Parts: sequence; C-alpha cells; structure tokens
Amino acid sequence: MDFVTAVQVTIDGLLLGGVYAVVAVGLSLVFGVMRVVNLAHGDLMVLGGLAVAGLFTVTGINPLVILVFVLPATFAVGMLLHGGLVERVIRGPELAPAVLLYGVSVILSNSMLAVAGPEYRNIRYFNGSLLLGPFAFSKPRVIAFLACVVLSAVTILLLQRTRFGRFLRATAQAPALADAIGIDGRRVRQYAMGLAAGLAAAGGTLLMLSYPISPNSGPTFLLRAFAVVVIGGLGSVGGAFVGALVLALTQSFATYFVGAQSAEITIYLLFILVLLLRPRGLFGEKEVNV
Amino acid sequence: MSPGASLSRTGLAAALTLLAGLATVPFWGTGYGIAFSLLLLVSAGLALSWNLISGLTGYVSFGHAAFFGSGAYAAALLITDLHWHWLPASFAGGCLAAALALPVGAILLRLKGAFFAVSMLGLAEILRYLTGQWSSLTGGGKGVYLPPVNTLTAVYFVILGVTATVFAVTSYILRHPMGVKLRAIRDDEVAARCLGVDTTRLKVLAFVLSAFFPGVLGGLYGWYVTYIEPDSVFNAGISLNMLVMTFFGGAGTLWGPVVGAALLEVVKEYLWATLPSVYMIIFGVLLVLNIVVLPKGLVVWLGARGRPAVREAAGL
Repeated sequence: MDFVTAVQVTIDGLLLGGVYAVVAVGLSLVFGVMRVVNLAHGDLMVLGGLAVAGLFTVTGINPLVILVFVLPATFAVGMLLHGGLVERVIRGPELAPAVLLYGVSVILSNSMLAVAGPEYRNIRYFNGSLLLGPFAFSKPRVIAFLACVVLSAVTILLLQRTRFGRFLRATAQAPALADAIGIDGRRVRQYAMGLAAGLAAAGGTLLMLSYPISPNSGPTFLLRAFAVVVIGGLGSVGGAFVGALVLALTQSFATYFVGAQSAEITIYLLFILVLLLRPRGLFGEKEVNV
Repeated sequence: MSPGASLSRTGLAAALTLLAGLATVPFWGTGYGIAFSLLLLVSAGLALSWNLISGLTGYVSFGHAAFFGSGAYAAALLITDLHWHWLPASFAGGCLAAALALPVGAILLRLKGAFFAVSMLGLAEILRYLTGQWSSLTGGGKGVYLPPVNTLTAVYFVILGVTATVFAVTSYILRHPMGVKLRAIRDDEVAARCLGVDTTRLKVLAFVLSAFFPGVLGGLYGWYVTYIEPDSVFNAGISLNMLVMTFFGGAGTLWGPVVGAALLEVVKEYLWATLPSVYMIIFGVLLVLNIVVLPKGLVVWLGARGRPAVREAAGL
C-alpha cells in the first residue's frame, strides 16, 4: 500500500464514518436515556432509506429535499413505537424491551420485504467525484458526510442548548432525580426514541446515496451501529463520533487488505474485543454495567 | 412445593402419554401428518434447548441458529464427503456445535443482557456469511445436496428421541440444585456468586447443552429435507422461532417450550399454506403481544389461574 492509496482509503473511511456517527448517535441516545438497546434501529434506518428511495423513484426530486419531508414522519414512527409499545414494558424484566424491539425489527424487515422485495437498491442522484490532486472525493459520499455534520451539529445543539436537551441529559444521568424535580420521564423517552428514529432514517438515506441496501440489511447496520456505540462508550454522544471513525476506518482498511467479506468478520472481532477489554468503550466516561 | 420441582407424578404421566402418542404417529399418520409431527418435534426440541440457557439463566440469545446451522453443515458434509451414516453424522454435528459453544460461551457469557443478545445475533450472521463464502468446503451459496431419504420413520424416531432427551434433561436440571442455581443467575447473578455459585461454569455448561441438541437436530433436519444452504439453516427465522415459541409457552418452565412449539407450529403450518409472505410478520406481532400482554407465557398464566392439580402438572 503506497502513500496515495493509504490517504485515499482513509478519505473513504472518514466519509463513511460520518454516516455511521449519525446512526450510532440515535442508538446511543436511546440507550443513554432508558438503558435499552433498540434492536429495531437498523430496520428504522432501512425503512427511512427505502421510503426516500421510493419517493425519489416516483418524483425524481432531490433526495435531500425528500428527506426533509420524510424526517417528521420517521420521528412520529419512533414516538408511536415508544408510546404504544416500549413504554409499557420499560419497568418490566430487564430484557423485555429488547425482546419486544426484536419483534418490531422482524415485523419491519419482513413488511419491507413483502412490499419492496429482496433487491438491493441505492439512490443515484449525485454522481461523479471531486478530484483534489491524486485524491478522489466521491460526490455522493461528500454530500452525505456534510449532511451528517449538519445533523450532528443540530443534535448536539439540541442536547446542550435547549430545555428538552437538559431534560434528556438529566433523565439519562439521574433518572430518579429527574423524576423528583418533575421531569416527565415518559415524554423524554418518547422524544428520544423519535429523535433516534429520525437520525436512523437520515443515516439510511445518506448511506443509500452511495451504498446499496436491501430490506434484509437491518441487522447488519444494527451490529455496525452497536459496534460504534460500544467502541465509543455507551451513552456518550461524543464517543459515538470517535467510535464511528474507528469503525469506518477499520472497515475501509480491512476491505482494502482482506476483502469485503473478511472485513465483516474483522469488524465483529473488533466489537467483541472492545466489549471484553474495555467494556466502557475506548472513550466512555461513566460506569456502564456491560 | 419447592420451585425446583418441575415434573410431578401427574406431569410425568402426561409426558409419557404424549411420548407414547407421538411414537405411534408413523404407524397410522399420513405422509403429511408424519412430516408435520416431525417438524413440530424439531421445533419443540429447539425451543427446549434454547430455554436451557435463555429461559433459565435469562441470557437471551438472538442467534441460536448458529448452532443449528453448524450442526446441519457438519453432518451434511460428513455424509456427502466422507460417506458417514446420517445418525453418527448428526451426533457429530451436535458435538461440533457444542465444541463451538464452549469458547463462544466462555467469551460472550461475560457480557450482560442486551450485549450478549446482540453479540449472539452477530455470531449467527458471521457464521452464515462464512459458510456462504467458504465454498471450497461448504459449496458456498449453492448449498449441499444430500441423498434422498426413502423412509421418514427412522429419522422421525431419532428426532423424537432427541427432543424427549432435551425434555428429560430440562426436567432433571429443574429438579436438581443446578436449576435453582441457574435461576439464581437470572434473578441476581452477583448475589448468586456471593453465595458461592460458580456462575461462569454453570452458564457455560447450560450454554453448551443448549448448543449440542440444536446441532444434532440441525443434522437430522438436513438429512430429512435433503438440501441445505447457508440462508436456510443459519436463517434468523430459526432463532426467532425458538424465542417466540419459548416466550409464548413460558420461558424458564419445563412445559412452556413444548406448549409454545405445539401451538405455534400449527399456526405456522396454517400461515405457510395460506399466507407465506406474512408468516414472519405475524410471528413478530405475536412476540410483541406476548411481551406486552402475557410476559410470563401461557403456561404460567394458565397455571396461576388453574386448579392445584393443573399447576402441579405444569410444574409450577
């Protein structure tokens, strides 16, 4: 591997990392607020992506514009999912929400399979590459990356600067105290799930600008997002960004050296290794019972 | 009655009657009836095996198809490449699954709750992927063709024997200190460890047992259907079935997985015949309803409102 190739692989990895970060932040938010791993997260991502792809095929409008209109809908899906189902079992046995969301994942992926078929699809709207010396920046990936930077900035501002963000962080850090000062935990959890579904859908759409996805891809992306969150430290939004970059770079280089198939295995092993050796993540701040 | 007692005299009588009844099916059943009972027994055996780790200790596995698929592939390759008889080949499949479960369990069972669940999901995905790619050994995505089976009777009786054995093993574990210890792990693992329970060893033991039987059943299933491919035997639907059937009947109980498998296999058969595309969707809906409405499962729910004799028979 010469220098130019190494830089090129790094560029591709970083651009992909942006998308992973947005998806993983959603998963991390839900875990942080309610200690639940959303097993349907990957399928929500595919749902958003396929919805935008479908509307794009019909209308031919810029998929980013479509995404702006699809986002509120996916937000509502997340709110309904939480209010209608997850909240009912949140106080039950520890794994009840996870098993329930696994059921939701099965429902979502198979419904999409029944409607859209098993084919892989992407959204071909942005084409070509920007050339910068010997390096190529694929346009759809650069646009996806920039959109992810915007989405992440909005999410961070939401969490740090708004009333809702303070409520959410309070609920994540000290649920009992948040409850005691009158924060409606149920509503915070519901909004967190809505926000997570929106981020997942955005990630799915942006990924589909360059990568093909099928209704069966949910579990793959759930595992990726979960690996990102684990590497970065659970419940830590900043960690999710670092984790996303670590994972995307690993994937990029592993694909180059050992091929896409073995890259999948490399990612899985990295994920297991981090869980075993650094259960708080490489950059996790607080104790998490893994 | 102590919570460890799981198979009373009534329960034993019921189990033996059921076993005898199922053993007569090949003599009077139609071809369809035998095939249906066979699949029902496979499902019950898988649900009972899954229950050994996930029902008893609460370590919910979303990827037990990993063991079913490994067993199926090991047996199929022993039969086609090395010309083994299907019976020892299937048991070798079980041994391979158990041998795989030993290191996997020792590593992954350190992870709690959802972390274990998701890492098992990943394991099944990775194995499906590997089997599909490693074509020099496994034939890759093309799958493996096995010689056609002339008569179902022999394989039916072996499957009946394997499923009855998992039932007996479950009953034995529930009646002995091991069952109490495993459930202590589910209720409070730290407390169990403080009381001197060797939690790691017990968890891994239960995990290896819960992998061995699906491995054997995978081998037998492959022999019965005469064709396997990565997407059929490592299918996420297989893991889903074990989970849904056990939760529906009652996780952690002796009869729950049997009752769940029997009822849902009928539902599955009906849906297969009428609405194949929505069968998985309906199983997903069942799982969701199950968790929300009937979290402890049918057997426990019935037991709670049943007469003492019924409760006793159900092992509650």
